[in-house]
Amino acid sequence: MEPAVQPVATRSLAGVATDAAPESADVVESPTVLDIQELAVYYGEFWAVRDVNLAVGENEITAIIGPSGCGKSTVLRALNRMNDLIPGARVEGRVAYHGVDLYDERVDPVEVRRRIGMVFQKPNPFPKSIYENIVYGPRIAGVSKGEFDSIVESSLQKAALWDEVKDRLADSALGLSGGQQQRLCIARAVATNPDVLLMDEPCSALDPIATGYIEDLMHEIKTEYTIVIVTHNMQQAARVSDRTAFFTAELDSDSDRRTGLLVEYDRTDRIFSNPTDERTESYVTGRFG
Amino acid sequence: MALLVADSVTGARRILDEPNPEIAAQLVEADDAIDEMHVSLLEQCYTMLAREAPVASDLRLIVSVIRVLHELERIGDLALRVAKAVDDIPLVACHPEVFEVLRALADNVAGRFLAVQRGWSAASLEPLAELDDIDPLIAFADPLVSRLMALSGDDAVRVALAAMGVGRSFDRIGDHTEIMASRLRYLVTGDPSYLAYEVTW
Amino acid sequence: MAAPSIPTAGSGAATGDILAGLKKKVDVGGTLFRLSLFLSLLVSLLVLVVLVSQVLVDGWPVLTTRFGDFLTTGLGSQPEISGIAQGLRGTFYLCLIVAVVAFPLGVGAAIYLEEYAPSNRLTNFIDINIRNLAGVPSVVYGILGLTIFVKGVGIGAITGGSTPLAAGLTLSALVLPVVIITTAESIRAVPQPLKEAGYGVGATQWEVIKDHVLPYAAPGILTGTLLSIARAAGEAAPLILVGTTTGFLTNIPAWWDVSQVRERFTAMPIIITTWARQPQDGFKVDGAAAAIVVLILFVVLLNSAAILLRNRFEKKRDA
Repeated sequence: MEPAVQPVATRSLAGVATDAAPESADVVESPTVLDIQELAVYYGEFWAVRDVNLAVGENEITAIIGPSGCGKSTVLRALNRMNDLIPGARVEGRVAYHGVDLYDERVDPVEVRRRIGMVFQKPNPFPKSIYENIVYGPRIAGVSKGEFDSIVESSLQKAALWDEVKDRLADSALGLSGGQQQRLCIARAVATNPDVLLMDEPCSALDPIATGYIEDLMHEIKTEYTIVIVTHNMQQAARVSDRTAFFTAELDSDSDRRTGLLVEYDRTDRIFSNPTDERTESYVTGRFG
Repeated sequence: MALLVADSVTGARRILDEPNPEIAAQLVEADDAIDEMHVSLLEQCYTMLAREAPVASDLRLIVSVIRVLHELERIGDLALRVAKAVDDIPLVACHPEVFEVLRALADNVAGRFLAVQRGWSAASLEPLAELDDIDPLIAFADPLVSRLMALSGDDAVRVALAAMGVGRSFDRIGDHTEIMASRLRYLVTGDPSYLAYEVTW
Repeated sequence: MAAPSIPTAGSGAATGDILAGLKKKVDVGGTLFRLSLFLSLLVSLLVLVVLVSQVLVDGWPVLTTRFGDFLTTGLGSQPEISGIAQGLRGTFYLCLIVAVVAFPLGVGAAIYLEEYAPSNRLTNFIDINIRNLAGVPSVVYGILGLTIFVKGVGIGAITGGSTPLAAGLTLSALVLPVVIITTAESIRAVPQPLKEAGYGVGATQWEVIKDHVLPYAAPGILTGTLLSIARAAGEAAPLILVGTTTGFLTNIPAWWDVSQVRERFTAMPIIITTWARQPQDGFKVDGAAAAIVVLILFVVLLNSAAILLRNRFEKKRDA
């Protein structure tokens, strides 16, 4: 995909505003992979989310937290143009991926999704074999068949699933447990060799042990991918992420519906020890929500 | 618990004026109560950490409280030490030039403690604004030492020892009070540099 | 009945109360309901049993004494020498034509409606009208077939008049709405997460449909199509109007002789209706009944195939 569009000036992740605390270890700035500027999403007449400005750093895990209905999943899906699938969905603002606006009309959403993969809330493997699940993406991307075996093995290794399924790759994916299916979905997502992984509440349908596996996994693959995760579970965001974005929903004066917006975006340790905005404080301490 | 300790501190201050063994005995009993409260409050803090996994201001509160409980307990012990010197106080009182330094030190420390205690009760930094910037070394320790060195007479050593003991105790109460104040600043502002108070002061 | 109070646990007497409260009681309403449902089932089955046994009894002589002949002889003037050979071929080719025409057209239309057509008033309008068409009486389709496929300018020449081709096209038109509807329903039933997964790894819309939606919907689509063909096999009114021969036909073409789709023909439903109006009992009672039995067997075979295929596909899909 040639960046035929002029790269949008991206902002770096320099010290995000807090009180005058001396920065100790937060010196290295990661290059920005996804620069979200003035993003707003509409579903028909409904204004789902507004004024989102967020820069996602390379090889970082960025968490998006907030109460239900504040547009977290909407924002996530805007990052790989999955909202296009919903009739009536409309996006304003820009999502710059390595400087290129993903919503430019010359950009092919299919190519976007090969580079920005997604893992969904409920595991949704194809009703095919484990092997087929993983090679499907590469196959339709034109990867040669000779590479399939190695892609399957490396993807399953990355998803910490290889040892458990290496002897039964031809078995149906639906025969796996929930946690295994979700890891398979992660393997499927990395099989197309993406840059960025979007995860929409990947653990909410799983038990704590399976959740633990996946969180460990995220730490390990972080060095190769940039991860954005939406989660309902604050402790998970605190455990796993480098930066956290807190969203909330506020009543729109015109309609009676609530529109989501970004309240605060900062390093995770700051969000959870000394957030700037009192709405963030109320949410993370559980006083509201 | 802070109130109990406040009583001990003011009691220690009073003992200078009224070296009454009864007051001393009260302080000894009070210290037991202080120790018990220390343990039970610590347990409550740990339980809260385990069950509630607090974050943000809740976390800062628990973390600061745990530290402050320790400080309070030490302050209580130090006040007790002053009380146990009750028998020597009249002796020191015979040397007004020394005694007046001690009393000034005790006043200062007691005042600081009460201000910090009020700050904690209100979870506010306002009472701390009243605190002066007096450097205890210059204001009290140096004059005390020089005046003690100038003592002479048979009981000079005994007086010196007693005076140093009491002075040292009050001085250390002052130190612990400063730590409590810095933890209060951390709690209210969230600025982690206040956690490094012991290193940077 | 007063609400049961839960006595405090403890004494033996109290346990007895608990037991009394928990004991099963007679549920009159529920039992009556269950009984009436069962009776409904019984009556429906009864009707079916009576029908089937009636034709079995009536057709017994023919079926047991000369079944082979019956299947291989053509139409004749005497019941003892008449058979359904030409009817079988006619019905076979009719089903074939319906399969070849209605299946691709119906499935294609349904895919377009469900996956590609924008969700607007026009699409809704089309959807409603397809449902209406599914309810139009088959006789109307017969008239349509006569006008367009038999006598229509140009088309009449292609079909050759009252032939299996014309009749097959007519029957295709008849079942097309149903095929579209069942296919559309099957496609609609494909879970959204599956499609999202496909899009998520970078599939185009066509790839998602081809690799995920259609395989998933296949059992439903196949079942719907096979059932439609089975229904078409039994329709008489359109065949009558299109001009299926009720008299005699001279030859019995070979099964693989495709040119018979442009020749005059007969089919099972027409044989049945014709024989049922003959004076001779041999036709009216025995022959017609035997033909009905054969037709029922054929339909049952098709339906069973539909169910078997569906089960096989569903097993693959749901592991």
